[in-house]
Amino acid sequence: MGDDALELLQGTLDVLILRTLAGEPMHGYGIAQWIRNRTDGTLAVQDAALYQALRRLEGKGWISAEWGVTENNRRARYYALTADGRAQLTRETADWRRYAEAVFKVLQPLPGEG
Amino acid sequence: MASDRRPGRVFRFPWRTPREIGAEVDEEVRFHLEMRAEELARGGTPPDAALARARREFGDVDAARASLARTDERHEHARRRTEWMGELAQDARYAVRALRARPGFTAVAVVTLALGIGANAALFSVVNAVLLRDLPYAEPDRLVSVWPEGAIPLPGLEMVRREAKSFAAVEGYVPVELTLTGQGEPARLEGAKTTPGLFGTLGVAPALGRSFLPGEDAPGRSRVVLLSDALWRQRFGEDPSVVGRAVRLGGESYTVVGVMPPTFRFPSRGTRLWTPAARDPNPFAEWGSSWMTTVARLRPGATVERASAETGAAMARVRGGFPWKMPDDWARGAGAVPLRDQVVGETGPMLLILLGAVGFVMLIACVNVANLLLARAAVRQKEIAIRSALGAGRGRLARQLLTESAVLAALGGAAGLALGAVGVRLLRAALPADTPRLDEIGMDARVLLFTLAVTALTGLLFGALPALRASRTELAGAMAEGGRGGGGGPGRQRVTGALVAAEVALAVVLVTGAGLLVRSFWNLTRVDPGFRVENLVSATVSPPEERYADDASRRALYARLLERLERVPGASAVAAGSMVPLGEGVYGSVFVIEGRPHPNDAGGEWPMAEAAPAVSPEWLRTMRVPLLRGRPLAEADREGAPPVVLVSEGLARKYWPDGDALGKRIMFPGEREEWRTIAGVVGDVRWKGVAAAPEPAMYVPLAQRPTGQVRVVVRTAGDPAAVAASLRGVVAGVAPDAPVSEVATAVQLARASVERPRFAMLLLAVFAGVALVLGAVGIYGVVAYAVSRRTHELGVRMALGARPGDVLRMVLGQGAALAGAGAVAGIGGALLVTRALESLLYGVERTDPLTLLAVPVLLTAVALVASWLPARRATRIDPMLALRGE
Repeated sequence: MGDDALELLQGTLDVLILRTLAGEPMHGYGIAQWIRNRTDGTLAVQDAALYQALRRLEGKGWISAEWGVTENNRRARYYALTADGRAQLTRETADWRRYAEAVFKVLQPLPGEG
Repeated sequence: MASDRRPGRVFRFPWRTPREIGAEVDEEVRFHLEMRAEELARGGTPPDAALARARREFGDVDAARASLARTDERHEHARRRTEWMGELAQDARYAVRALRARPGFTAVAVVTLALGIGANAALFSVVNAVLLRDLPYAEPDRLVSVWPEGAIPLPGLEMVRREAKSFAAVEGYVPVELTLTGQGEPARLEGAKTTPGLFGTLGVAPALGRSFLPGEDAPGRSRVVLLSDALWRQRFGEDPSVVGRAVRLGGESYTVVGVMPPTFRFPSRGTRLWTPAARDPNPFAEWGSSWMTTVARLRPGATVERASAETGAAMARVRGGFPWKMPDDWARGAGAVPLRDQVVGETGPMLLILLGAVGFVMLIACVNVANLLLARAAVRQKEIAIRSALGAGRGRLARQLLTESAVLAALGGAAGLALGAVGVRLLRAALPADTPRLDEIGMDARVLLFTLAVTALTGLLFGALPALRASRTELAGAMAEGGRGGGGGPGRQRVTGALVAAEVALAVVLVTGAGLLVRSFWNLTRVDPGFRVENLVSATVSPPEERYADDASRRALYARLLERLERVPGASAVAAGSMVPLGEGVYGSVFVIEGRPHPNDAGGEWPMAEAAPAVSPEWLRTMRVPLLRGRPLAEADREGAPPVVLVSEGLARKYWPDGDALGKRIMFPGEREEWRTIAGVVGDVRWKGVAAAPEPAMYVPLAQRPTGQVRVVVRTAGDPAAVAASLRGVVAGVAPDAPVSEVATAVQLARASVERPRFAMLLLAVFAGVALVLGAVGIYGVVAYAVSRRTHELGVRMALGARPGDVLRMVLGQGAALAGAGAVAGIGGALLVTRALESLLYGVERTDPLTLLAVPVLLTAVALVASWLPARRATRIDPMLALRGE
């Protein structure tokens, strides 16, 4: 992770977490695993940064945290999307899509270039 | 840790300590690392290497843990704050709703509090202006009054200035009366002769022109005058060019040098002008007549104690400085006190007593509202139990109830402030006219702050107990009692009972104080002043000095004046004297007794007549002062006839204890060397106030000493006010240039002399009345509540054969018991507290058995009346209904 990529990365991580929690409440380890599996390990998320991001989202009121029990009967801290968080996810998803399309359009080869 | 949370907190988000937060972060991180290591181990990594890798992937574990814990703590605080604010808003909304649901209760509580807070705010406004606010002079804390109870001649002042090193400046003043002529109708004005430096020492500059220059006390240079703002407005039309103009005062021409600002009221409110006190080259005259009240400014760093000690030493020197021998005890004990203390004078203690009394009223109001809340809390017990069952913590419940009290207190405070504003106006009108700084009384920031503090304190006082008790409600008990509206067990009964008893005790103290003052005042109004007060008018006539410079002209004027006054319709007798009893300006004189050693040689005290008026022959008859022995003054006692004098009974007894004073001879120093024969002995008169003992007095024929001004007295057949109204015109007909002042009936003078005790009595009586009413309301509330609680029990008793009389006795007995307990405690309190009243009492002991017995009886009677209504209701209980009501 280069320093110049941090800004982008942070925003990206936030929206990824929100997306992860869209289905059901998860604990921190579950989120890390989910991201790793969905991106086939392309996005290497450092765990410390993940937990910082969770706090940040909690502070914004987009997710809430509560202690629960895993299927293996271990206590774990579960994070769930709040109503505000769900709205934020919808907004950010749309933004990301527009952003990606725009970048994709720019990066398409020009006629005569290929 | 989270697992051992107390069940009571199940419904609330628990606040976590920093340690708990740290532990939770640790647990979360540990869980993550273990899960990752297990996963890696499942993939074939050896367990040790797996955990190390998991840690590596995580990043800096310790730093992350610390940072996460910090973030969590921050969030926790923010959440706590929001929740607290949310609860407060919720509590306030709930409180307003609850209060609006019971307008009767709310109105009674708010009115009770408003009475207490309003009375406090009003009285504190007075205390603030009179006692607390700085005097309107520069650095007022460094101003002192030197020997406040005495006066020092001008040359003596100079000696004090030299001797006492603590003083940066020593100044003097003496009130005088001056006649202003040529500026509209002639006017007799209050003024003051001052040392030239007085204004600089006080640190007050004139609004216009200049104050006196050093050296303007030299003979010939002292004909300058400073005008008060009021005089400048009334008589000079606010003319700014008045400075430099010549005015006539007492027949002399003075130059106006300046106008003082409107806030300058020194030494008193009525002072209209100031002139320098001129030095006199004749030491005998100067030491004998230039007596000054003295103020001084302390040097920076000097203390009042030090200055006081130096004053004592300096005054011993002054005593030796007189050109004749002064008594050894002259000015003994002279010291210095802060000027503020001298200004406040006797008003201070009285105000503090009244402030204490109003504090009692406030306490009673608090107790009453606390009782109301308790009774209400009992009714609301079920509601509280339900809220508690739904998860409201005990603290939360107490806070909720306290919020209700705070809202009540705020309402009471707002209403009280409005009431206080009205009260201040009433107090200003009712306060004795000689109250220092009367015009400065009003509400200011300090009064507002005080009211705010009182309001907050009352909210806490009356809210705390009910809140604590109500929040301790036992869940199961309250719920089990079902729809009956809650407990009110013996514990609560005891608390309300104790509160009401306390209230009665407080009321007893107040009513006892008021009772003592009422008795004092009653005694004062029945004091015989030695003359008949009814149907008597007096007025001061001050002939201009330049027109009536010699004795003969004044003698003629007074004769003409009396002759004209006799023809006034409604006047049955008229006379003139140099002073009038209970009026302003009663002076005495020392004298020498023939055949006894001269006091100067004997070194003893001079014989003294504390009032020594010159009076016309008809004066005794007009005033109705009885002649006891000898003969009255007659027309024959005129200029040139053998000098005579009448003495009062008290004076005769004091100086001639063995024999009769009749025929003995005395001499006034300063008069011609002539012995005056005592021609008669007359009754004692209270000259200086009805509260004081009659002063030894001597009466000289006015014809033999025609003083510069006279107070004419007119005995009227009918309403004295009618004659009073015509006096000015009558005098103007005889002497158009002689100002008439101080027109007053003797009843008015007598009333003015007891103004302070009357004010104290009135106010304390009002407070006591409020205390009585509040006490009665309190007793009524408690007994009525107890009756409603015991409906069932009373029903059973009546079903079992109790007669209405038994029930009545039982309920009344409860009220009487409360009142009795309170009354006993109250008498004890009164014995302690009335000590403070001693200075205001007249002719009654503070342990006056009549008052101490009558007051508890009165309160018990009030208690019985207050219990009567609920008791009667109790006798009408239908046993069947009461039993079925279960």
